[in-house]
Amino acid sequence: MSLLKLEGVTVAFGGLLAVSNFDLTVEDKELIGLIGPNGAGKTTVFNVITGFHIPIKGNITFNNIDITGKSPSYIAKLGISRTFQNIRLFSNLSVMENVMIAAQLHYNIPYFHTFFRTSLFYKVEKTIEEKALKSLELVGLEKVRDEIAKNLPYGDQRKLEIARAIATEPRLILLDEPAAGMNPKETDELMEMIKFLRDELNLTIILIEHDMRVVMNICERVIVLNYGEIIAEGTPDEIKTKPEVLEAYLGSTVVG
Amino acid sequence: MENLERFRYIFFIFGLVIIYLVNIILPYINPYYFQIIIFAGINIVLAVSLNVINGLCGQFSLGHAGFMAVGAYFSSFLTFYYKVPFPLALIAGGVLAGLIGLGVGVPTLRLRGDYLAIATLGMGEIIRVILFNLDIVGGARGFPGIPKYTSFFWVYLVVMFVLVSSYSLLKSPQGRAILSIREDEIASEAMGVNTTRFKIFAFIFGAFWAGVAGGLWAHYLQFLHPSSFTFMKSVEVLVMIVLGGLGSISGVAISAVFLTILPELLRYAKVLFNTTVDPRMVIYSLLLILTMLLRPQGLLGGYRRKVKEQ
Repeated sequence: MSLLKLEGVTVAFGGLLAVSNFDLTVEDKELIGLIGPNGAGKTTVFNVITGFHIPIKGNITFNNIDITGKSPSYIAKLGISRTFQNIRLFSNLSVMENVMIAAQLHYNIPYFHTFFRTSLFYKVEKTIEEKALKSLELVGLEKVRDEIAKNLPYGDQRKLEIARAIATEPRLILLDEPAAGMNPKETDELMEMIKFLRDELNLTIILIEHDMRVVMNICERVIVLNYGEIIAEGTPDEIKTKPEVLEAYLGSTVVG
Repeated sequence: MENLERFRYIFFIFGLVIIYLVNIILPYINPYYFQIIIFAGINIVLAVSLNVINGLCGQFSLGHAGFMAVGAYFSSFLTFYYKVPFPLALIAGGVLAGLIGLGVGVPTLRLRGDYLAIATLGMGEIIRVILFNLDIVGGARGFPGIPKYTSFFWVYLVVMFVLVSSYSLLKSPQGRAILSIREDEIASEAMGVNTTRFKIFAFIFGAFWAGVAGGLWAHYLQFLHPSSFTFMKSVEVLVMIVLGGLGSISGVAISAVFLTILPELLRYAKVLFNTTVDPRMVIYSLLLILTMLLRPQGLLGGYRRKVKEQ
């Protein structure tokens, strides 16, 4: 049974079809790359999966539950988490708080316990904190846990976003250009980490990336998007040679 | 932190005893000073509660005077006509203000920034106009003869409650969720925070305490008039929280006290400069401008309201 299924999903902004008739089936534990030129609609696909855009047509099912048009928080609770292309951290809060906000997703504590500080409150706080710390350790940020998020170097901010996404205990994680702005060494670490997430934490991953080194090295399946439509799909090696892909990236050959 | 919190009940009882003792002595001091101390307390309640909406949750509300009016009128109505015990009347005033906060919050909290500010400002004005025309509470003639129940004890008991509850809220999962809405609403939603629910909660929380503060105010002055609850009253509280540092509970409380005392201290300015015109409000405004120039994040605030790009 597939984990995520998009059928004929169409998203329009006014008259512009950002994504049209998009079909995608994602199996459990897959690692998929989504590539395409700027403005191809890659981020829109992420936004429609996570509930930030409502499709005008089509269906999205996750884990056999219809999530078309559901609210982002509901979808996050079901187990889809994401990072953002332009980093969206809670900049004035500490690294730990950033992750704790995500880690508390599955722990609802009634206001009564909060205001009267019952022992249950401390127990739940502790569990949240431990879980948050675990996510921070995964990306190697546990040493800067009390730092304010906006003071972190750029690479660490990206890592923190990933830690925050993991902390919600998702089954599917959507990474929007995780390697953007990273140097080659950081990119290598990132690739290791993404593999780790899939192999050890059994996560299913879809990632958008412009860095072809990342896409070609770790993705098992690559989907190429242009003008909101899938123009090619296959293993990294297949993709490299497809004429449609070359055309989208480099332009068509001049005839005559 | 947790260890300190475990002793909170002891601290609380300790505070209670102190307030009770001061309450016995205080009425013997100069009634002018006494009044300033009472108003400082009421302003702390107003500022700390508005801080939850504006400073912690980042929702720009200008309707605080409206909530205060609801609490003031409703609690006075209960004590005047039905002889309801004072604490119950205070709570009832707060609850009604909270309910109105809920009713206003559900439709308006979809709005952001300036739009929300205008909507809440309109709500405050509507409440004022309704009070102007409600004959049972005096309408435009005002509401005289409210029993004098407010004492130092009641004011500072409420101050203690509002400080403890805001602090408990801040350092909790719900508090973090509220902060995350202020920081980045989209990321907050992506992390599973039901932003609408928490925004409404922050709104109700703020409205409730504003209502209680209104009740304290009414039972101190013993007279209410709708014109006391204009938009300027909301701005006054807003100035307190911006000066104290949006989001900082202690900063906001300190600035509430400071801004209550400052205009009174400035009464001496007239004597000092030996002028016939009163330079009080000029100096007051200048001081505000200077503080904002020198410390734009407020006296104790670390967080500066960022200009939202959307």
